[in-house]
Amino acid sequence: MTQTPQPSRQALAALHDSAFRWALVCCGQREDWAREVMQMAYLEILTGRARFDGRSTLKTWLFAVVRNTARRHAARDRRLLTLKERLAGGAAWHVNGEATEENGDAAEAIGREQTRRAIAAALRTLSARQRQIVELVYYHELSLAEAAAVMNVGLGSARRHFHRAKRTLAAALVPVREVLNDD
Amino acid sequence: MTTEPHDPALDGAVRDALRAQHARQRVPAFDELWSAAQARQREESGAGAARPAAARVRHWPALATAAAVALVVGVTLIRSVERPPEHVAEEAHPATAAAVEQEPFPPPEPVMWYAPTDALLQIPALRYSAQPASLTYYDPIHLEVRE
Repeated sequence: MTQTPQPSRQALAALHDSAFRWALVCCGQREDWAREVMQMAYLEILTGRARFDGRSTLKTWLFAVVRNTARRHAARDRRLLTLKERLAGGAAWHVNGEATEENGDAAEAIGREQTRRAIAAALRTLSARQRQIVELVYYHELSLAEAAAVMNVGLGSARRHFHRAKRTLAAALVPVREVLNDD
Repeated sequence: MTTEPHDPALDGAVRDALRAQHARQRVPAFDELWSAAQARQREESGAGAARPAAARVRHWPALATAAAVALVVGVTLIRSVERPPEHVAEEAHPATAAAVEQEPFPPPEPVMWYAPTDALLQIPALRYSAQPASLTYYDPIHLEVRE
């Protein structure tokens, strides 16, 4: 049986930008942690512990490696989180299912910028998996099946998370739309 | 599961919000992270090569102790099998214990090189059956010739 060769450095470099942005999502928008996770993901590839088997696209495979690395990193460093960080909520690793409690006030949002803010606030209320699948589908333009493969969940589960996330985001937009329609 | 109606406005708003959010983020250069990963790989391989020697040095006292314990246990086992305790042998096999005290092969009886005694010669059958046809016969005991 012939083995699929490991992806080249050039191929990985072409995907680096989107992979790092995905690492940020997996790390709760903590840039230092995302850098660490990306280094470790590249190390997994260099040492051959993560092997590309050709059953998916390179982008899907790389995203899965990043997510798995982030999960391991989170499990290892979870005990290092101080109580203050946990109470603050912002440093919580979203891959652990810890969603932030911050709620955006969508009613104050007006116009395009306000819509952005309302969406951003609503995104922060999503659970970890909902947030990740929204990122993968809307920003990284993966299909639901590809997103499910990256997140290592079934397609039905991925679809369920996606629709729940959309419902939350749509509800966040209702006040904005009402204000815009009144104007 | 109910399917929700497609909402292009919502899709566009979410994409727009996500792009705006990502636009504010700084992405480090690929070469920077890749080089750091390569350096880590070299560290790992170096530590992996040095580990066996270090492990040998670190573990030799434990190995020596284990070998000594195994030697003592082995010798004790062999000795117990070869020589069972005396009280066990006596209680289990008294006949064997008695036989041990005796000579396994007593010295043979000395060869009877001497002549029969007088008492033996008093038996008539022995006295006369050995007599020769002649009138004289040899008396082996008294070493005299009788007529």
